[in-house]
Amino acid sequence: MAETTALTVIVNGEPHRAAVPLTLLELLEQLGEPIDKAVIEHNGRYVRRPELDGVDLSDGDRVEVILPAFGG
Amino acid sequence: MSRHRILGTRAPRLDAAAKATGRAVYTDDISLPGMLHGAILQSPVAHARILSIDTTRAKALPGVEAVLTAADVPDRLFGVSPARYDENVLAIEKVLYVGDEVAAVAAVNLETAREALALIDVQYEPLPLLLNAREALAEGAIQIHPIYEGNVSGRVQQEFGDVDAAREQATVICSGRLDSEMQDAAFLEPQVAIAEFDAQGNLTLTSSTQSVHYIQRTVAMVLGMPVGKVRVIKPAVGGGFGPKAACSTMELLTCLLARASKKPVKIAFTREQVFLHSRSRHKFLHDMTLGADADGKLLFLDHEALLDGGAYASFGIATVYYAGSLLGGPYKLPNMRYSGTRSVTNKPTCGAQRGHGGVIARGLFERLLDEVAEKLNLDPVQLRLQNMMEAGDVTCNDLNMSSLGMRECIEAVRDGSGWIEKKGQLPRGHGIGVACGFFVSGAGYPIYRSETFHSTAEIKLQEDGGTVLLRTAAADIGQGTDTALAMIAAETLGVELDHVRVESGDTDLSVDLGAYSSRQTLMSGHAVREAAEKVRAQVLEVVSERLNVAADDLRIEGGLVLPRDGVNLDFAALRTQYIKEHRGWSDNPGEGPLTFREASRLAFLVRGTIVATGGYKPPLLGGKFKGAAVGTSPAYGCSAQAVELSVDLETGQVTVHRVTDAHDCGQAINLTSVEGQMQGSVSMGLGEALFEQVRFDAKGRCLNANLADYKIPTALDMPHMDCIVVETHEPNGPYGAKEVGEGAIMPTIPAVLNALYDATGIRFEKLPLTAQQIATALRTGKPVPAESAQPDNIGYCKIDG
Repeated sequence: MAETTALTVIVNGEPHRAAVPLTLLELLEQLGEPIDKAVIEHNGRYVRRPELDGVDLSDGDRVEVILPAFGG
Repeated sequence: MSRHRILGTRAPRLDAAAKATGRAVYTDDISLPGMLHGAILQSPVAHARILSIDTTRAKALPGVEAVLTAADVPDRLFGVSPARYDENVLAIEKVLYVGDEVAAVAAVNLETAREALALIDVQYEPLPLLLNAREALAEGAIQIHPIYEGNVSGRVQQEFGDVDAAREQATVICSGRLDSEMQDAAFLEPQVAIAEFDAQGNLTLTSSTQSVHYIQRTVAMVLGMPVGKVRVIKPAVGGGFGPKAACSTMELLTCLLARASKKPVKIAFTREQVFLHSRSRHKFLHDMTLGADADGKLLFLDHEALLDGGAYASFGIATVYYAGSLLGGPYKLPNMRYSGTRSVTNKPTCGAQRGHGGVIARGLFERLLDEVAEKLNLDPVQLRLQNMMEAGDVTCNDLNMSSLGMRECIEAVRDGSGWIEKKGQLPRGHGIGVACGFFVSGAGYPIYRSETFHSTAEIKLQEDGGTVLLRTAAADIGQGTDTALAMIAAETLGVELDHVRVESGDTDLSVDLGAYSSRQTLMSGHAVREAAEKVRAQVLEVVSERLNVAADDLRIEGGLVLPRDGVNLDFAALRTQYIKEHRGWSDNPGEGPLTFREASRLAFLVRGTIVATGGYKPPLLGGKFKGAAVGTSPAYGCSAQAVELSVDLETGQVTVHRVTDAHDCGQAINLTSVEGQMQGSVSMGLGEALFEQVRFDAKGRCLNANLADYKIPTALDMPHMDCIVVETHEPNGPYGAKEVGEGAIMPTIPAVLNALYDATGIRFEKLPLTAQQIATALRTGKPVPAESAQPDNIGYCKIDG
């Protein structure tokens, strides 16, 4: 049985505690983030939708959910 | 014949008389008792470590009441998108460009404040400069901003459809480049702000902003105050065009100096500071390849862009996305791949400016369309028409053209410009070119993630019923929003326009995200219409109760309460009551139908204050396709232009003789204002096409930070313009209305490029199209080459998601 511990991920600038193991997709689904509408960044890098489930989160990781339709 | 009484007319602007007579109050016209004047010490070097700051002598200067450095202000990053908060109020360890803010002073007058700045001793250790995006992205380049590894502040890679497969099917493939220079929005009123705390600790910031809402939130965040304790007021504003949409360091310093000195403080930018703060148009480098089949059907676009962003992000994260996504329409383009990078450099920060992100990209795309047409021996207008989207079509990147008068626009331009007689028929040195474009009518989401209403509005009737008070936080920055919203209120209520009085641009009045993304006519307009409908219903309910008829049997039109056709009503009893209420007054109603004023007074007597609010949130947008939906909007405006010009074949000087411009704004609210936006867009587009360029020396110092050396078109430079307003019905807009603020600039640059080709036979690659560049090209017979958008160390990455 896998050992279950917690990690802290910085989501949109705010710390979020979650149980590990955790993928980026699982985190976003837990938080109810609008994955279809948003640009997702993991530690400053854009992550394509098909790859969200392949990103394992680590303690201290930064996740940004960006709605880039603005300005002018 | 219009089914509207107010909408679609040429209403005089509510602010016209005040502005024409000089009575309009701008922020810099305001002076408060005991007010101090602030000044900001800005870095004279473009990249350096701060070794020390000594403010001792400045603090000792008589008349100085506050001196701030980074040690005295909140250690809180801020910016536009929460994902890119990257600015400190004052520089902490490094300065990143000439103009980076280092210290601030408040004193009894501006002269003393500036003298104090001169007494602040800052020791700098110079660092290597990076003034070019390609150099900044090169391997081994020094990292400018601690957040942005590799000097990349934004990178986008998207593919819609299958570009490689489409390329295999293409008969014609055209590739090209276009680069531009950093530009300035050149609004006439430099930024200015006044901050004051009252005795209860409430902060009022009066500012020349495009968005009181975002400024309120940013000020509250940085100062550590509840949002409700911060009020932001926008007086008359002399233009914004994008750069005034975000909270600036200057606005924050005004508040912080007021808090430190316990007195009101004003800071006003000089014109040089406007250029240094900038947040205007990026320098863009675009590489594109466009393919079509033998019939001219567009098959794919492969696009790479590099943006020189300057020191901080500002709106840049959106700019780099928009630069790609806004090519999804208005043509049927089934496959599109985009790779965009925004770099950090040691220059002023670029941001959002009219036609955000899409203007230069549109320039190259429409130039390539003409090249495809030429290779296929097709007329450029015909090529565009046969690829044109129709209302209801959805772009490959999920933008829904719920209404689209694009075909009508280009046909109107073709016919209005004499295109058929002139294209290819003009003598050498004379040319005509066409282009199209489209733009959002508001963004689908707020800048910060929230379920907030994008607009709310309140309408209240005066107790005597004589005046409709419309209250909104929407920002009239010179584009005529107050008048447009008053017209929507008047139309909905059935009263004349002069019954409506507007209070706007104040966070105490409502929530409105402000003047950006061409959003207010649609979004604020929806909120106003809803509030007006509720008020109208309340008034008619009272009348119907008193007359014992159904409310549906009543309507309000032209300021009169009228029965529906076939219904007979006797208003005598109501009128008698009204006149009794007003015995001795000079303006009692005469014979005829019940007036709205009488009905409103009666409604007040029965129900008390008649007031209602309206609100608007966009519907759920996008999400149909894989990848991020960028540029989703409830609606899209579109336009076409034909530019006719001549070139002096010796000097390269261009003279634009005529612009024929057609724009689909849905239902026009105020025809005069629609045409004003079209004319203003063309003016800005011609300046950017032909001569606007912010220039820097080798040390990153701006060489033309004034409106004498930075040339913009004046009225004397404007060609003859024919404005054709194409009206469609936008199902997501109030009364069918949508934008005209930004989309109207899209076709100008490419129409000039295409007209220049018609005149010279040269496809130009660099903006602005200076006489020097054109003369060089005419001499050599080939264009001055553009820079590549692809830095050596950025490998292309195909996206299959």
